[in-house]
Amino acid sequence: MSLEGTARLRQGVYRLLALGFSYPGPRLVETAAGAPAALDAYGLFDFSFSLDVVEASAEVARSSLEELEVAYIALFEAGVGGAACSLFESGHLADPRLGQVAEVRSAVRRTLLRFGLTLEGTLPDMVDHLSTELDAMALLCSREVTDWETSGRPGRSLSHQRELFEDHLGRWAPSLARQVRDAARHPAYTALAAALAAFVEHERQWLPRLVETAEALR
Amino acid sequence: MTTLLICADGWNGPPPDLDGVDSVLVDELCVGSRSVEAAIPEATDELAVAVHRRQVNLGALQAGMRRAGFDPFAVAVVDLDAVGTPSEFPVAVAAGLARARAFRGAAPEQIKLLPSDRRTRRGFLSLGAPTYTGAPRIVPEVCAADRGCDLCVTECPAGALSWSDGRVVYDPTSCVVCGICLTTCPVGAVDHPTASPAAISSEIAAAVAASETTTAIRFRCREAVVPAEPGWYQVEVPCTQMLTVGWFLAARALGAADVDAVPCSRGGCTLGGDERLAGTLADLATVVNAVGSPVADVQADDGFAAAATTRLIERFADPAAPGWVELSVSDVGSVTIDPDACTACEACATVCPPSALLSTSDDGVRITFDPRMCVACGLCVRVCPEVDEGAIALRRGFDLADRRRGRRTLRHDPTPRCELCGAPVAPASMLARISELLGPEGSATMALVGRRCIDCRGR
Repeated sequence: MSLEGTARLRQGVYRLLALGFSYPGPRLVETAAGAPAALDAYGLFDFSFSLDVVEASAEVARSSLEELEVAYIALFEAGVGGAACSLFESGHLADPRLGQVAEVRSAVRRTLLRFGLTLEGTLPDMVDHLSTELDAMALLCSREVTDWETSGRPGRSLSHQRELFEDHLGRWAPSLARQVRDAARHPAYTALAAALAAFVEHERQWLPRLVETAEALR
Repeated sequence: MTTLLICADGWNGPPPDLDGVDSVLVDELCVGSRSVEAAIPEATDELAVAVHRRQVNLGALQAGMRRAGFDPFAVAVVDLDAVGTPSEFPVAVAAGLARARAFRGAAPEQIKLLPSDRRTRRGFLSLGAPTYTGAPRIVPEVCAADRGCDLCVTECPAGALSWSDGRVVYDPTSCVVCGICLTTCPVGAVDHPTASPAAISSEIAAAVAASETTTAIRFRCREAVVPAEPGWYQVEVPCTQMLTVGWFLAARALGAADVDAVPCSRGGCTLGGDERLAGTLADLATVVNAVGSPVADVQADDGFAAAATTRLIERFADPAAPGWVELSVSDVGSVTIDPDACTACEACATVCPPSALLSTSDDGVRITFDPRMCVACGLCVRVCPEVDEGAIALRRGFDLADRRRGRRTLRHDPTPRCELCGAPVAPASMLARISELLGPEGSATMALVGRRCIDCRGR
């Protein structure tokens, strides 16, 4: 298991989860169907989260797009008094009565800008959306892959990953995963929540080890 | 179908013929992950592996299990090096399967990445498959931290637990997965996915039941490599320092002919000394000498559940047992209260995690104690405001005859009634103590405080 391969694996899992928690489209179902085999090439089964990722991929792949859309809307968009689960970091870490929503979104935006990441097009409200943060982690993993290929070292991309994870994603994704697990009525989202929880918990333990490795290589 | 994969390295002869188990010899099972998936028949719904623990690449083996669709924590692992004689192999398989069947799943935070031992540059650039173990989780709905209990916090050798605002906070990064919190918790609030009381109990019961002769139980930690000894079945626990007298008694009650544990110094422990285990083993010898042999079976996981020692001593009771049996470290004790020093503030009963001490209100404050529930945690002594006056004392040990008396009143203090509304004011001894502390200058205050309840003092 090479470190470059591990970065590719993590990039793939982040991307899969980002798709899983975006509004469902044909690409999600296609990607999920091929994900386990594609990720296995980079050592998926070496890691404890693999069974959850395989299960989530299988559940999504065997679902129809219509089912997924209904389930997504029910969980994240509709509902009496609001959606059952918020896919936004500010929905978990900010108290709207104290004006903290803007603070949280601004903090995420600043972090992403510092890493040279900007949101395309007309979706500024998506800055603290789960899929945005997962995609950002996937991009940073992709940079890590490039670093390994070009210089044999992970460069700053690894410390950027750790910062984004520890300051943002890792702080709220577990609570979202619990909410989704409790509220989901479709097995695809129950499984996606389990995969998110397993992967994020693994990253919490794995990223410091990767950073330690990178420092030892300096 | 249950499939048992056996490492062919060092195995002599054909695969064993075991009831209900399809045995398969696999080359290089101890070193390769791909060999697991390839060797498993399609109809397999339960998996066991028999490997050499000293040689096995556990990370690769776990990866192979996952590739084959099995959660490694739900797979029975038999250590070929720990099997004393060929006739004991079926015992080890039956026991391993029983333990694996007791696995009830692990939350993501209960899957702990074990430290990597690779430190060379080449090692860093190509990591081996990571190895995982089960980690504890505090179940907040059961935890008594809201009543002030912090026993797991004080006993955790790694500083991984802290007490904050009535709840125990767990730091997974610091946790060394020793399991001491599991056996320290008097209310069973610690959930351990791979060393649960149900898993340990099932494993021992199966080992005893499958053996054609007598089986003794030897606990060892996950790191220790202990040579096989005929007649002794090895049970892996996270760390032998977690063991209590109760766990040994439970194994005896399940039918183990003898019990012991491998001290850390024999197993290359990274946690440090084995003083705790030595004290537990000394107490075990004292208890067994005092109360004799087990007289009752322990059912299911009952024996290894919370507060095991104090619950199990009763079941071992010999009518001819002597009086007071003094112990040094164990979780069984007896509390006494000096009525001349106690102010009946009820702090001891409020904090007592297993409710061995209880307070009730009738015509005053009544504090009762049941020694059969006491885990000798000492929290009652720690919170007593009059402990320096000798108001409360804890002795570690037991007296079987005394325990048979059950719950008894340790303290009863009448409570004066409010002259206006009739509600209780405060225990008489507490009022006397306040008066003593205030001295003559406080006599006017006491005249009011002693006659009226807190709601009526402003009228």
